[in-house]
This record gives sequence, structure tokens and C-alpha cells, in this order.
Amino acid sequence: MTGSSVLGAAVTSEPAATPEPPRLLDRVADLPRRADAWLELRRRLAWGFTALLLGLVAVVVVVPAATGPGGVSPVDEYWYADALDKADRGELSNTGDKVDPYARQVMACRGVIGVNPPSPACGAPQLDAALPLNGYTAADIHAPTYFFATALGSKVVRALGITEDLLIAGRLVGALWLALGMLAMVALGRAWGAGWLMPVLTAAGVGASPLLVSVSGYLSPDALGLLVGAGVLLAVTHWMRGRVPTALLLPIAMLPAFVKVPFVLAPLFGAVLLVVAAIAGQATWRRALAGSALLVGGAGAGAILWQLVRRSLEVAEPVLHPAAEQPVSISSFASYLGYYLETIPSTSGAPIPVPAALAIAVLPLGWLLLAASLGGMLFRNREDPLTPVCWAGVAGMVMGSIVLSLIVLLASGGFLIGTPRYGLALVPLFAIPLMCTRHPVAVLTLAASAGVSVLSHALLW
Amino acid sequence: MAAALLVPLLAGCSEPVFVPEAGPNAPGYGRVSPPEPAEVELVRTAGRRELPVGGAIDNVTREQGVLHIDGWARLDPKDPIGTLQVVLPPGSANGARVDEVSVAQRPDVVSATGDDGLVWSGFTMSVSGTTGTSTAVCVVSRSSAGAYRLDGSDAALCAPADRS
Repeated sequence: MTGSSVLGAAVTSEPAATPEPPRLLDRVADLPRRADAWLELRRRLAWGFTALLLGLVAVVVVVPAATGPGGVSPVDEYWYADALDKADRGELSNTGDKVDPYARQVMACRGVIGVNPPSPACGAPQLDAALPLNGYTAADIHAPTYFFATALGSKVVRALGITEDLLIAGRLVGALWLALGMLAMVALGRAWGAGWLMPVLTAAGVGASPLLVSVSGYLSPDALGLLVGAGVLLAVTHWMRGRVPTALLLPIAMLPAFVKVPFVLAPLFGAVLLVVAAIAGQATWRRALAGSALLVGGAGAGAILWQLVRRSLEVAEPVLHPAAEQPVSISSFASYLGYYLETIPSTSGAPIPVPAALAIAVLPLGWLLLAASLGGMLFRNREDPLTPVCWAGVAGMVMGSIVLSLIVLLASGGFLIGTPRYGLALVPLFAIPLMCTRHPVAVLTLAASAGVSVLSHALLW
Repeated sequence: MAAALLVPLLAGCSEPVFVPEAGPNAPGYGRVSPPEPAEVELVRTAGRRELPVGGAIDNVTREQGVLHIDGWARLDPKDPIGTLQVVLPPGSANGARVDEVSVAQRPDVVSATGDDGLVWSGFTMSVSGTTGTSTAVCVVSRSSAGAYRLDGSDAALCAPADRS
């Protein structure tokens, strides 16, 4: 049968060809996009699911570590237990204070993981000479924020009858800090244009990693690292969009020092982000320099102010940490080049027990984090909004430890820090490029990695 | 939200859900008093027999006629832990007396020997009224754990009585 078109030419009309059904692989590859689109239309529900899921992840990760057998963490948990005990009674841990009996007994009776077994002197008075630093506290170097906030949470945990023990209660509060940190990461990813699936999977993978277990399942001010880092960078992001007043950048940049000094890396590399944005033509130099100055100035002012407060509260001269006596040289700093590549959560930096499967499951997360940042730095063009993030993230990985070592050198005169854990506040920055990825292979790989990581913790229950 | 769902479940139990395995708030935990210090005697000789070496003198200092001695000894882990006999150089002990004795924890000795019973093996003592400048001493421990000559003791002062 023939018909005529508008132009008068003869047209043969044929029945439309039946489209081929999508292959299974294509359907699976399209799932993330469809899931993201479905959730995007239901944001409140999406946030509810996210909060529930990440809350469950936090509980699954923290509870076995916090309540399991074994002694205190060798990463200074003995001193943190004392600081928590003091905070529970409304007292500060000042320079020159002695460790009180509770923490002495906890360490003697439960031992230190990988260092000391429980002592036969459990229950007897633990004399100063038998204790690290002759019985003096080392928790005085940290602001009391974490200890008081955790003490408050531990009162709730004990009031509910979940445990009567202060140490266990304090450790369990780590689940709250971890959940809030992961939620802040998701919010940060979303602020940079990510969907739902990748930020949630990235946050869950990071939360279930050995590094986060070591700081969330045991007493440590680092438990607030994800939350503080993501929070500061979220504020910087919103400032870049004009949603946060410029004057607020200063107090926001000062806050990290009042949780833990290494967290000042978040505002410092937030400043790097602004400068790179200006170089890429994505921000005016005037605005970028103003913001950077406030972030750097605020971070510095916060660190100095905390030291002044600490000095004003000291009851005796500080006890010098043995490591502070190491000589400083150019090669000492050079050895920290690229150090925070190891912060990407594949190592814990502490001999705490982690599930065997976790050490393998977390590897793809580390590779994806590196690939997204390094690849973005190399292959995204100047106009791409994520280019400054990739450059700032890689700068943090390469130079972060050296920057922190310099800060500590200026503040204390010679103490070099040598642990990847101190880059924790930068992990949200490292993670933004990955969270914004939508490549199906990356999504499925991350889903497998995060899923097995969380499952390896769940099997400990 | 997840924690909020779990909390009522956990809190509904009449007993705490999580109990430490040792230390404060653990079942059976109780404060323990350290043992009484060893009895210290000033003696002229270390006895008639050659004694095996056990324990050690860590430090002997002299300050204005007062000898301060600290170390660790193989004594009983519980009261009464035993006796420490101190031999001073001849002529320096006239008028000497033991002023102060205290017991000390020695986790380093426990680690080195693997013997938990030595956790309270440490001691410090002050002997006043001594004359001269010598810091040579012989310290012997006697208890149900045996009789030992502390390492670091002066060999001449520790020689058995029938040979000195």
C-alpha cells in the first residue's frame, strides 16, 4: 500500500520494527541509574532509607569491636578511657594530671591488645612507676570536645541499661559518630552532584573499613574525623554556591582544632580547593583568596587558641612524649610525601582485630578512591566542576602529612607524626570524585566491596 | 534510626546486655590490697651456705648516711611474703637501722620471667645510721619460695660465714 508524504513523494509505509529487548547485562548496568532516578523523585524517603541503612551499618561495625573480648586499643585508649572517666565526672584532662584509678584498673585487668596481657595485679592499686608516662595523662593534647560529648552519650547508654561499664558505653557511642560521619559524607557527595547510590555505597564502604573500625569501635577522638571533615567541606561547598555567609567560614575553620588538631587539614585543603577552582576559572580570584584566607587563618587561629587554652589549664609541665625527642631533618619530612595514600581505608594502623574477609573486601574501595581522584585530575577538563576537587584531593594525599608535620613542628618544636590515621578528616574530600561516578562497573564493584565488608562485620555477631 | 530501633529491644533486658570480661564492672572483680612489705633484718653474715642467685638489686645510693636500696626478690606472692636480710660492710653498720620498707609492682619482672607470682616482688628500703662511703651491700631473701642471694650483691659480703 502506498501513501503520499507532505512533499508529494511516494512513501511506502511498513510496520515499525519491534525493538529488541535489552540484554540482561544492559539491564543490570542500567539499575544504578534507575535507582538513582527513582530515589531522586522521593528525596525524603531517600534520606530516610539512607539514615536507616547507614545507622545499621554503624551498629553492625561498632558493636562487635566495642563489646568483644580483648584489652584496650594500643592507640592510646588507656588515656582516652581516663579522659572519658574524668569527663563523666565533669573534669578536664589537663596537662600534668595523673591517670585516675578506673583507667589504671581497666588497663591492668583487660590488658592492651597486641601489647600486654591482663596483669595478675588486677584489682590492686596500680602504681605510677608501673604505668606509661609514670602515670601522667597524654590525653591533655586533645580538646575535651570528644570526651564530653561521648561521656554524655555514654550516660544515655548506661541509663538504658545496655551496659554498666563506662568504657563499653563510650565505645558504643562511636556508632553514633560513625553514622553521622557517613551521613555527612552522603550530603557532601550530593552537594557535588552525586546521585544516591554511589554516595551511600561509598560511605558504607568507608564506614566498614579497618581504619574506621579502629577509631569508632574504640575510644578515640578520631571517631569524629569523618563528621568534622565532611562537615567543614560541606560548609565550604555551600559557601562556593553562595549559600553560606563568608563571615561564617572563620568559625567553621576554627572548630576542627577544638576536636583534634589534625582535623585542621579539612579547612586547609578546603582552601586548596578554592585556589584550584580559581586557577580553573571556576571562581573569581578575589572570592577564592578571601575564602582561602579565612579557612587558613581560621585553622591556624583555632590551633593556636587551643594550645593557649591548654597551657592556661595545665597543672604541671608537660611530660615529653618519647617520639618528640627525634631529630628533625629534611629527609624526615620527605619520608611523608604521599603518606596519606595509605589513609584510604585499607589499613587500620593499629593491631586491632578485624575480620579476615575485610582486609580483602576493602581493597577495591581503596583502588576506586584512588582511581576516581587521580583519573579525574588527569582526564577531567578545566570546566568540569569536579576538577578542583580531584586536584585538592590528590594534593591532600601527597602533601597532607607534610603539612600536618609542619604544623606540629611549629606548635611543639619537633614532634613528627607518622600515622596515616591522621588523614582521616580528608577522606570525605578523597571520596567526592568516587561518589560522583556513575560508571556501572564502579557502582557494581563498590556494591560488592561494601557489601562484603559490612557482611564480614555482621558475621562477628 | 536503626540504633533507636535496637535500643528499646536491648534496654528491655533486666540485666546489662554487655558486661566486661575483667576489671571494673566485671563479675567477680574486687579491689585487692598489695601485700605487706617484706620484713628487713640487718645481719652480720649471709649465712653458712652458698646461696643461689635470685632477684636483683637495681640501685644502691647513699645520701647523708642513709642507704637507699631498691630491687626485686623471689618472695611469696601473698602475706607474709618473707624476709630480706641485708649485710653491710663491717664497721659501717654500728647504729644502723631500717627506716622504711615498701613493696612495689614489677610488671617488667613478670614479663621477663613469665612468673605472675612476682608481680609484687619489688622493694625499696632506706637504712639510716650507716657510716663510710661504700655502697656495697649483700641482700638475701628468705621465704617459702627459697633462700636466694640477690644479683648485684657484693660477693665478699655474701660469702658464707665459715669462709669469710
